[in-house]
Amino acid sequence: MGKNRINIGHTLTEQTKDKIFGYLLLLPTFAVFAIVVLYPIVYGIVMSFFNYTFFTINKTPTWNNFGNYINIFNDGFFQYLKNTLVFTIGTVGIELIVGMGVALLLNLSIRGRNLLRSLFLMPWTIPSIVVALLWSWLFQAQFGIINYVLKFFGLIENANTEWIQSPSTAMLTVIIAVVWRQAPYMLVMILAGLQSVRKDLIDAAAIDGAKPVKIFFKIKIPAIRAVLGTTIITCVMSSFQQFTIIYNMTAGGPLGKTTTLSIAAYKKAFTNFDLGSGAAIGVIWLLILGSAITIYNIKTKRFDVE
Amino acid sequence: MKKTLIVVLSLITILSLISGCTISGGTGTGNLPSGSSSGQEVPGDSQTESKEEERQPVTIEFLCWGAAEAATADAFKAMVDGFIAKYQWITVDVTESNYDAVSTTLLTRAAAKSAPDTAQVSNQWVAALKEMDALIPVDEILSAETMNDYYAGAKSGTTINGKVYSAPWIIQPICMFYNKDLLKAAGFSEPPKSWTEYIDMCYAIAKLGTNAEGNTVYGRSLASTVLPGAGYFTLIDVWANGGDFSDADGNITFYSEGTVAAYKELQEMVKQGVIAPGLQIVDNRSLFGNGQIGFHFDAPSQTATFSKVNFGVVQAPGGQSFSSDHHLVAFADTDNAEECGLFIDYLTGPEGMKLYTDNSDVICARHSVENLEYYKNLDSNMEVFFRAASTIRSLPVQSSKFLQAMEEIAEGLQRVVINMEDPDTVISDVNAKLKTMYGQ
Repeated sequence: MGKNRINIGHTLTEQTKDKIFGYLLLLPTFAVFAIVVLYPIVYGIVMSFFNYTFFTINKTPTWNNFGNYINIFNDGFFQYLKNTLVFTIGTVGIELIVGMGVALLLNLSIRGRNLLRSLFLMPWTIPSIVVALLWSWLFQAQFGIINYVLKFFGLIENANTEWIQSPSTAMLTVIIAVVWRQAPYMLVMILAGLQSVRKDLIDAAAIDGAKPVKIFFKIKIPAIRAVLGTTIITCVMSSFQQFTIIYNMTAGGPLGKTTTLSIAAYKKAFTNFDLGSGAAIGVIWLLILGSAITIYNIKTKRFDVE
Repeated sequence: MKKTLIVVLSLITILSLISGCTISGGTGTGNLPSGSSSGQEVPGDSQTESKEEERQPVTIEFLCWGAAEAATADAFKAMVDGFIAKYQWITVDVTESNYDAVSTTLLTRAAAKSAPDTAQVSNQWVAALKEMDALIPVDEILSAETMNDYYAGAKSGTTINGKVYSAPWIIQPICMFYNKDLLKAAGFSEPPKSWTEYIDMCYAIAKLGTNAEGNTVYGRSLASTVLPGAGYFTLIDVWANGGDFSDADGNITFYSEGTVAAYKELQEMVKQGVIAPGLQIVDNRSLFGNGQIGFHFDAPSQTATFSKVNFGVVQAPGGQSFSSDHHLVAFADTDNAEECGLFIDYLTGPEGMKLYTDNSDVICARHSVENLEYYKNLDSNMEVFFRAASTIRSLPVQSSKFLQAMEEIAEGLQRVVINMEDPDTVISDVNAKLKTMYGQ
């Protein structure tokens, strides 16, 4: 018996042994990943199919025939999804334009460039809750400085114009606040990308008579495409998950105009105590984001360098 | 050899990670001491007192927001120190939390069977915790004498099926602040005595247009964000107009002539510029503190906020308002129910409240505390709150659906004062949703 074991050990090649050893080294990482990422996701998905509330959390959950999904689809899910898409497209779109513009500026050899870089990065260092309070005060109808400035320049008639609690402008206010905080991230990433573009290519194009706009679209953008793609995906995910700023500025109102999927999931779970429905929103949210990123990866794979 | 060592270390890492993720704490049954009919020993028992010298050291966790707030931090420290000095075998670990996070923290910790022993709560959260079977009824850990000492109105909100699930601590009666200067400028020398008089005064103050600093003036405040607070503050208007949220049996009766009249009244005031729409409660406080609002309903804790304004306080015209109170609870998973009872009794009783009132302006919830010197020397405004505390009505917080219901009402309010929809239709819609929510 003992002899057999020794024989089996000897039959393993060095390559196989190294492979096994490699897997063993991966085990701690996989264990952590399984506990802190995989298990909550699987548990959340399972929870979305059961009657699962704070009041039944320690009892055996009961299957509810897709009741959570039916419940959320009958309870404004498409409105929440539309709000999320408007919010995400709005924030990421503006962040991209602002980030690109400022990054191009800071990539030039201008005086005080380092100081400007530090200043532009400051909003990113401020906690979301502070950003929410700051912009709530700026937009405040009665004593917010935005109304004062707009009135001073004759851009509005009513000095007490309501922005945050107006159904037509509430979404715009939260988009502005989020862009203000997150655009520096886009700026940093694009700037890092721009600084890695080979100078000899730009110089060669300039010698050949290419104008700055052509250099930008034909050389710089293709060169930073990978960085741009990753940054946009990160920003899309971040906007999809945005909760603190929206909740503290509007709490999802007025009239549900800023209720995104994250706000809806929170309210289902912690105001209605219905964890199952909150999880159902999370599952659909996961599917949407997962599908979008998979499609993006497939579509952009052909550009990847082998 | 090296490989073996690495593998062993990896396995140890995994095992320690896994063991670190397990939940420590009690078994969930709560080891309640025997000795009373309900399995508890109650504070004040001579048997309990005689045992004090032979006690084993005990530590209880007290989760609260008061210790984290600058205005009350000193008071909380003094009270906890005072309690430890009196009951020397008990140590109190204070877990500080932001007010906004306390409810969620307690729900999740109770669900994970890792709740603190005792906690400071809003009376609005008690029903949900009770429904999770997370609480010990406080009448099982406090003596009958102590229970009878609490104001009846304050404990009624958290009395469910005959059991009291939280001990009232600080009463926050909502009374009406009025700006004396604006009232005078509008031609009135006295605050309103009836609801009709109040509405007339609101219009008269708004007609002033601007105050001495040139800022726009409004007759009254109204919170109209989609948060529960905005919902239950409108109950004052609803009650004044003869409506109600529910009847004595708990049946939803929100759709009534009175409620519709109240919402029509609010809509008209927004149209006429008597109310600024879309404000949060905190915005209303700022405007009143800035001398731009004539009347504002709020709790006694806000009096310091309005120090720049020449204001007075009266009970709601028509007499019906509510209080939003701070209570104390003990959790079912505690191994130290008896000590929690001692702690709750101490904090809410004369000794704890003496230390609290030495540091902060607060209204007590027990008759025996009324004799403190502090309550004999109140200024005229605090006197109004103090008198209101023992008579004011409780919010309908006996159901875990309360906050959800108030958010639904707040959303209805937004439809009426921001979207200018027909109040009758809106109230009818809200009523139907409330009935579904409450399973009626």
